[in-house]
Amino acid sequence: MVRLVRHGWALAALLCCASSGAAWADGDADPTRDASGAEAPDAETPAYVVIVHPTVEREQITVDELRAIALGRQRYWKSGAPIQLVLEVQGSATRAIWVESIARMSPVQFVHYWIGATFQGRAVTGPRAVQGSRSAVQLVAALPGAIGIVPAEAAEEALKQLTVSPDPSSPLHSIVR
Amino acid sequence: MQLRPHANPPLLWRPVVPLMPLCATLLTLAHPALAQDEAPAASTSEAARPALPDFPIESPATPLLTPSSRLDLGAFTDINLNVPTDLEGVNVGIGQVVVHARAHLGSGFSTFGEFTLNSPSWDVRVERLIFDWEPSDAFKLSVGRMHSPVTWWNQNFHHGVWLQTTATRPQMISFNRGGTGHSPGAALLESHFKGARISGLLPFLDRAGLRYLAGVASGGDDSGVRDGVTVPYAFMTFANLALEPPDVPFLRVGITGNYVVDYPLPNQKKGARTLETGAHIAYTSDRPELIVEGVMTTDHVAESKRSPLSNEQTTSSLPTDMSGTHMSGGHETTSTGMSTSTMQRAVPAGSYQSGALYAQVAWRIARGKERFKPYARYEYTTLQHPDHGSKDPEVWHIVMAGLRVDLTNRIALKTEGVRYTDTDTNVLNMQLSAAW
Repeated sequence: MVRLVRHGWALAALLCCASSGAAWADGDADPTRDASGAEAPDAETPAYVVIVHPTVEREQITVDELRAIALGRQRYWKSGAPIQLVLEVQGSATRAIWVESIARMSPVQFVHYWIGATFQGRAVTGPRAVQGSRSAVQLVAALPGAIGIVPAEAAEEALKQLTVSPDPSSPLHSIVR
Repeated sequence: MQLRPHANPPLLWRPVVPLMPLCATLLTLAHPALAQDEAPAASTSEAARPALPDFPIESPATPLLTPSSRLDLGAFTDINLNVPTDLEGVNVGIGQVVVHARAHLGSGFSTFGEFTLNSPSWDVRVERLIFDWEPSDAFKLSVGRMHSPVTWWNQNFHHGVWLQTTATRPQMISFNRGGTGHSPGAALLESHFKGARISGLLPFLDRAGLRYLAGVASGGDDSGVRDGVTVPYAFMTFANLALEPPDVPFLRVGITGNYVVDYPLPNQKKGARTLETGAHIAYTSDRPELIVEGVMTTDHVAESKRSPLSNEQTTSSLPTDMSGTHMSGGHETTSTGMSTSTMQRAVPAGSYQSGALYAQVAWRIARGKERFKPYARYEYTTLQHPDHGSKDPEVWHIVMAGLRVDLTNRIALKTEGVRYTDTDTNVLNMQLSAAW
């Protein structure tokens, strides 16, 4: 009996694990909607663009490069300029594109990942967060090496836009041009 | 093994104590906020959207925009409750306060510092102090005091317990040196080194994601604890190779090799030589998280020496670790960095082989806000203790299962049951950790 009770502690922890799933669920995340519940852009009309600081000597970027930037694995442009990732705050549609479609992470995991990356020394600084697309455009324009994704209507004429290399297999293909 | 004395609760309360962490966990899980969507309701006004605590919010008008003038600060803290089944040694322990600071210094230079405050003295320790020069993704030169790269775990989590899924570290790189509390203290490997290293992404194999790391270190203030006490080392050289394929974003496969020369003990001409080899596979996608890592160490001790102190006496000088997760020294040291207890240690000549392996699996449940992450870990450790006068290795099996609940993006509650086979002990650990 005593032994049974003693072994019960590990069992209790397992029960905690097993019971955690169903009771607190509020449904799976819907990839067709952003965190605020708004519908994702129409598949036929990509509504978001990749913008960079005008000094970035690129015209095109691949999905793999965007992923490497989102994960901090690529920290420098070919010219040697450091890359500055500019994100909108959690809850925005463009943040969901970076996190869920490009980095393929959950919002919790993405924050966790970047806190770890800076603490581990893999990156000196984390992404720069801004509130709203207008602020994102302004910060990318002001920060050498910066890159961001904003709604097409928010991108100003003076700002440099990159074309994402076509990749029909990527979920980004219909979202970001 | 010598267990440290702990304050026990009054007899009347003892039957209730084991239930406290379980009740707290269940109450936490039942909190409706964990299941609700934190995102604000759809709003047409961007200004109305509240800023959630993940990355610092910047304003384009802020003058501190240039990389060379930005200082980033962060911190980790944790509080632990350990409840063994026999209720002997119930602990509530404050872990560490870990502060880290990073700054660009311009022209590819940057600096990083990690400082810890440890209870009960709250002395400040410099865990890492690094100057980096990184002109490109292919090359980074780092100089300073760093964490040993011999294990993936030590390289990734350092003193940030919030970062790791579990509440406790694997025994092979435990901070709990010497066996205190309920942990056997089988730390095999060096935690830190002082020296220089180079690292980067091999440019001609960047599509494969092949990363290298190599370096030399000298004058380390800690080393493996294969016999229960800290042995400082005079020289270390190491090399790592790791594959991080871009097409599999969360996968890392790596191998490592360390060669360590310890300071000679008094009346010894040569210090022990140690070869450490290891390999790891880490897939950290959260669904699943899978980490498998193994190390082997071979110590070559050329000379024997008689010790005036027993192993129990030397290890008893180590500070108590309430949580079983934090322990980083505390000896009085000589000018060479050698602890007084170490200098009186006996090391019979010969070769000693030890090894350790752990496999950890976790899965973040894809429901609600994805706050729940159950996990399990198995550890196997075999140690040869020179001080015991026998070459029969000690073998430990440790089995753990638990649940991590991310209460917010920066606060985690971990509850885990651990079984230590060597002492036939079960312990329930509960940890509240945070990243600021």
